[in-house]
Amino acid sequence: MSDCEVMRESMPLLLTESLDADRRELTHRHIETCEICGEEWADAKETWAMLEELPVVEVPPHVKARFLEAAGLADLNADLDTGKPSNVIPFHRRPAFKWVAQAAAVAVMVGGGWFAGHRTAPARSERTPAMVTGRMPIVPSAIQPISLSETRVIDASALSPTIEGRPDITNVAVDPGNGEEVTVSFDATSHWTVKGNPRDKSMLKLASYVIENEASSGSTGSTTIESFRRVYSDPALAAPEIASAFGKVLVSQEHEGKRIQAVESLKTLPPTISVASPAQGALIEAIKNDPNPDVRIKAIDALARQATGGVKLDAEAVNTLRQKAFEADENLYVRRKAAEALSTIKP
Amino acid sequence: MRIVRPFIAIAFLATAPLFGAIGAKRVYHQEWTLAPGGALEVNNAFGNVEVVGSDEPNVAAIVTKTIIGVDAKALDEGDDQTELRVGGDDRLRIVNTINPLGRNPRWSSTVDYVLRVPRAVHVTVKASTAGQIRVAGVRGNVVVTTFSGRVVLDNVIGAATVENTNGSILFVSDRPTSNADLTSVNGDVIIVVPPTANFQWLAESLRGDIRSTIPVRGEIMGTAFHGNVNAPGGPTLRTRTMLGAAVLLNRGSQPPQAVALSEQKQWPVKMVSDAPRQMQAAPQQLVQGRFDWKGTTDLNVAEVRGDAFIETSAGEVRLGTVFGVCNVRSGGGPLHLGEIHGSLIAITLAGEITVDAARMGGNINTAGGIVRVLYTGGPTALHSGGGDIIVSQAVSSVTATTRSGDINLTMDWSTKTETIIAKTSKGGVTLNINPRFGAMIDATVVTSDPDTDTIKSEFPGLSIQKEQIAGGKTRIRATGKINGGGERVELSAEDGGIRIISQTPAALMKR
Repeated sequence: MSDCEVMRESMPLLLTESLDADRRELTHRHIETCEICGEEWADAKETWAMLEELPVVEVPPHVKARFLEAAGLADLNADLDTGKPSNVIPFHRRPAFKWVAQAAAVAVMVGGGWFAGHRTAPARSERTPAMVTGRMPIVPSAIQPISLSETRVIDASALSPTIEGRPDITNVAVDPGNGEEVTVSFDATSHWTVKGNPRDKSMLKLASYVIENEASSGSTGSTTIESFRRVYSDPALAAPEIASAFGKVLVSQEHEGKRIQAVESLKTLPPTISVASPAQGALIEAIKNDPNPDVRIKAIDALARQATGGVKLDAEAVNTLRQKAFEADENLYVRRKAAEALSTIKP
Repeated sequence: MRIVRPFIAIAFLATAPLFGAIGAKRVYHQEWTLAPGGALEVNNAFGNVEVVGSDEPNVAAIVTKTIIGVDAKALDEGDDQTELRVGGDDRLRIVNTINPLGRNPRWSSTVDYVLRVPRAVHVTVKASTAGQIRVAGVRGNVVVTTFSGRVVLDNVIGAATVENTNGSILFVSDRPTSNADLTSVNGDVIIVVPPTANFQWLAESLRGDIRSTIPVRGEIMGTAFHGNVNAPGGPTLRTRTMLGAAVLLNRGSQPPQAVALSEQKQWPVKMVSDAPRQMQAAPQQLVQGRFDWKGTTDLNVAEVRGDAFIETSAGEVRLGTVFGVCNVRSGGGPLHLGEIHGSLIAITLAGEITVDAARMGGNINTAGGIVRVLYTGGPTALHSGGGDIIVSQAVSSVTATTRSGDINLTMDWSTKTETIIAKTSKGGVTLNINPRFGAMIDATVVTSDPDTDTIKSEFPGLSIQKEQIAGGKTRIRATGKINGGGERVELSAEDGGIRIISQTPAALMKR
């Protein structure tokens, strides 16, 4: 069995996250380096996603009736229509069934596709002289998965013979090994440009990671947060993942400038998005405990905006505002904002 | 727990359609045992509650359930899902209205209670939205909590505690004998007593709106009054409100007749600290000449053709153009300043500060918030207790310090050398200068991540030293002259990098 065959057999398990860590890593590495398997994997993922989104469709009554009649079970149909018959114990819907069905469907698709493509009537073509008839841009035929990982172990053959650009390589360690294999490890910086629809799940995932990572690094993450705020404050693009990322920055970041940017960003998101947990919890926590008064002011503003935007604030949010309004040690303006926010709430 | 069911209903009224909705009403008459000295608790989210003390034993209740729905089916559903439950025993009687979680768009319900109770019981009422909650003639303690609606305590003899969020509180007493703690976030809190009543009055209003028609003596400390009515001593009546007024009325007088304690001259009221003035309406958009303003609210003025001296204890200040010097101080609230032709002092204890142009420079300071200055034409000092500082175009010297935040300074393209000091205790510093800017650079980074937080200069001539210091941190220091030297440029960053960027005049002008 070739490597590719083994890897394709692993794909359904990879989709269902049932592979052990070693096989998962091995499969991912193979997918990244093998163009054909990469395409197979992209198809498999697409099919999986489609199956996930398909609605559960009720069987039309006349179809059900015809089926039961054909099976000689017409009486059962009447029972089912009127309710549970005394002698029938209904099956409970098993949530895992859809999941297993998805895996089976993908396995059939991958296996079937492979069988159809490789085992039946192999395509043969006669060699003809090469001739340029026109030029057209290269369009990627399928998604090439790329993993952004903290550490990677790769085979030297997977590297391009020419290293592109001049990546900054530091922290080099060389293990001469036994003469058959040498190991070189290093840190390399490279610049990535990723383009995509801001609504795509992969872009949302990347944006969330970048927001959290930029904010936790020593770089000027405020600019990054502000840039993403501009993109995702558009109601058509706003997503809970982004609200969650801003919420995490608000709770965990020590840099007050970044916390201010994060809470400002939550304030500009549509109320129905920013109310999503854990962003809401982050706002409440900020009102209660953030040492920066501007963060507290903006967090209160964010809750007030939710209230005026038709979102029903939960009891904890309302109580937090009440306590803030009467907190004797609190800045008067912050207290006033809390009182004003309460006045916008409709119980 | 007993469930009150419609079999007690004595009336069912289906009203005519009203604006597409129909209504139904059920009235229940009930009597529950409750011993004198016992307690009654009423939990009713939506509707009025009236509790009246009497000499009769037990609790006599008239409960009215009103349902408004889009059709008859909705009425039935609302009727079924709005349950009245009575529990407890004759020491503690608990009356609950059970509403489904979440509101149904097809129907809404309210339940009104009128309860006659023995005088000596303790009463607790918890509500969410009420037209009115009234407790009268009760000798026990009274606790009322509601989110909105009016709360009236009429001759309650025992201790009283009221917490209202968006409604007013009226406390009427012939002779206050017990303490009362009356709190509303956004409503007025009014006490009505005879002119001979003795008590201590603690009043607080964030607006500074504390008024009376009865002579009082005491002290005003900022937003609070602490004093006595008539003879010293007696119970303490505490009235607290954020955005409402705290008012003391002689029986028979009306709130408009009450005078502000901070403004009256006849009574012995001592000003311990500045009393905020009454809410002031925003002045006209154009102020000719000098403009002095002191208040407790927001201020928004488009243009001042003279000097501006503004002070608010808690408010947002927006000023368009000021032709003279501008001095703005806020006890808390953001400051948004436009074109300031004279020197500028802008200070707030909470919130961001934005300045379009400080032509003569000045002093800009917030205890917490971002400071953004688009243009400054004179020596400028900027400070934030926590937040970024961004100056987009500075012609003269700049001193910027923040406790936690990044500093980003851009010098005007024509500036060849100026003293610049930028220090952040947590964050990075970026300095944009033109390629011919001359300076003596002294830049220091203290970091626990020396690979990330570095000093990067696009100007040659700096020597960089690294050393390990206490706490596992590294100090990186870059010193030297750029472009042959000039004024001192001192940059300091902790847990962040420093970048000195050479920008062409065109790029600087674009910023």
